[in-house]
Amino acid sequence: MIRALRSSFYRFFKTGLFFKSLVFTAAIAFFLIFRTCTEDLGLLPFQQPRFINNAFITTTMLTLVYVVPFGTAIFSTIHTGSDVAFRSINNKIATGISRTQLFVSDLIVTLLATEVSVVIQCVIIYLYAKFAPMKQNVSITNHMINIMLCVMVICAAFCAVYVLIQYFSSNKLLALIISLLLIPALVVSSELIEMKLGEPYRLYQYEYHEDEEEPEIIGWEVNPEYVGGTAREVLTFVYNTSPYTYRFAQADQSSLKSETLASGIVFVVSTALGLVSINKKEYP
Amino acid sequence: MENVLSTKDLCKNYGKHRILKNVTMEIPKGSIFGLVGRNGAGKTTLMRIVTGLASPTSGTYSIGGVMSNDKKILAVRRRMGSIIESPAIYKNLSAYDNIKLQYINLGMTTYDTIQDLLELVELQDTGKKKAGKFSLGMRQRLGIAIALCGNPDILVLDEPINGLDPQGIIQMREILLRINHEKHTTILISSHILEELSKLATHYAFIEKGEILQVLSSHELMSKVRKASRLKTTSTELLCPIFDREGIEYKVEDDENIDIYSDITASKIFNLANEAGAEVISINENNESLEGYFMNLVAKKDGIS
Repeated sequence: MIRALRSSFYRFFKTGLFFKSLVFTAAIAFFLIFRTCTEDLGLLPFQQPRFINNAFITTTMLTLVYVVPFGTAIFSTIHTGSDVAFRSINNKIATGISRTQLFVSDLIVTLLATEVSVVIQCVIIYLYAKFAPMKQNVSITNHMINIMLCVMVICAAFCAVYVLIQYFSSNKLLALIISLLLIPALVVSSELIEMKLGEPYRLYQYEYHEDEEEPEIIGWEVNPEYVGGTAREVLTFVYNTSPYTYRFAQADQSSLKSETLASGIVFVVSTALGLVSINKKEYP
Repeated sequence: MENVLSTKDLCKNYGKHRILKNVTMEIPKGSIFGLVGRNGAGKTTLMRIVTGLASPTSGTYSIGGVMSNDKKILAVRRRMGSIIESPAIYKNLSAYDNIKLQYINLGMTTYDTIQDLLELVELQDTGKKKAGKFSLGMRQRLGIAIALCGNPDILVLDEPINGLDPQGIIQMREILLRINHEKHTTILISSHILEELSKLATHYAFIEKGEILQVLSSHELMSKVRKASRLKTTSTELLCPIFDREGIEYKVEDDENIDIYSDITASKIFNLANEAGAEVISINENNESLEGYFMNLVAKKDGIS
């Protein structure tokens, strides 16, 4: 295992990927600060420093789940994907490094790069908030730490899925496209589910009278768009475990817990699938 | 003679297709073992199995006496270097870094010998140039250097001279002979260029449709290769019926050339040519090539006389 890890880390540093990742991480952190200020507060960062408070930090930290997975997708393609595409994975197997060790070592490097990136971004966001002029009271809270940990677990799940995709596909470009499309696909599907679950059970029929302010309900019918039974339970479960929902954006304790648990399960299942597939797959 | 690699009844199926059929062979220590076969004969699959890149459907193999189903096989693999199909190199790293990475894969902690390896494959002057910018020949030589990391006891090389120019082929041949002579490394090598293989190999295995047709040493091959007289004539068409009548064993190469395998004097050939109304342009001794020998073996297997 040490051989596989040393090899993976050597390449991580030697190819300059480490420093590129750091630059990318810092750039993303500042982009997110800018985005929160402009989109959520409606003004440029230097125009609204007095709105910089703990809520600003947690809101910005939550947006990491939209951005970090993109970086992880690119990172895993360059790091793990190259190993598969250049067939250098064969050199490792031929030296007696087991396939399990190979998968785990690549996953560890991807995880480490991603989690370090999350922590650095959280620190940058916090430091910005802490030292911004005319800021409000800013301090590290348990809630902040919980959000950071939850984001880290979500990103870990993405790492496992992406490494799995890289080992499945010998085509680097295809693997990258699939990895990058996964995030918008999750965002769109979460919104669709949200809409579907928001459909009312009853559709009322109204009659409007000129002399009355409120319309009169004259009957109702079952909404054909309403999803009930097991399908509703499944959609609710998926909704509660997606990081791209309004519920998660509220970042209450229950949503953080369910999200952390769901991401943990995705991580374990993806890793298990990856280990099974790498041990069965024959690479060209 | 001690064997460093042996296979027993190796079979490999991909779906319903049987790629290898009961392959049994033994590779003697210190030999250059040439694997001869057509495209799709199963050479690469066999090499992929012994290097651990694929697993056999049935059968076993052993490396240095350790059986394939033994857990120690992973450790033994460190004593084996390989290039399967094309060298697996990181194009975004230099030759030095590619070799260093393989040292790390092997668990080596000192890197003093990297320069020696670079000199052996004549890549010592490439500096920080990325392997992606190397010519095909340079990449093949880098592949050899990577395969040689850790001074392996056995090298498995699948088509290492594929795509090389004549100078590259000579360079590769010299490197392989040097490794074999100086380090006594056993080499399992396959190549389409049989003439080139015959300049290297000490042993041969002929493989066709996943079956080993014959395993023999180069000395045995030499003694088995059929001697023939190459007759150049104005008309092979006129001569063939006469040769058939006389029961002479021959093979028509083209419109002008016939290889005669029967023991027959030059004067008799002249007489028969006169009788047929064809002129004899020349008669030369023509030893059958490795290619010819292989094709005859394949023809026999297919039932073509």
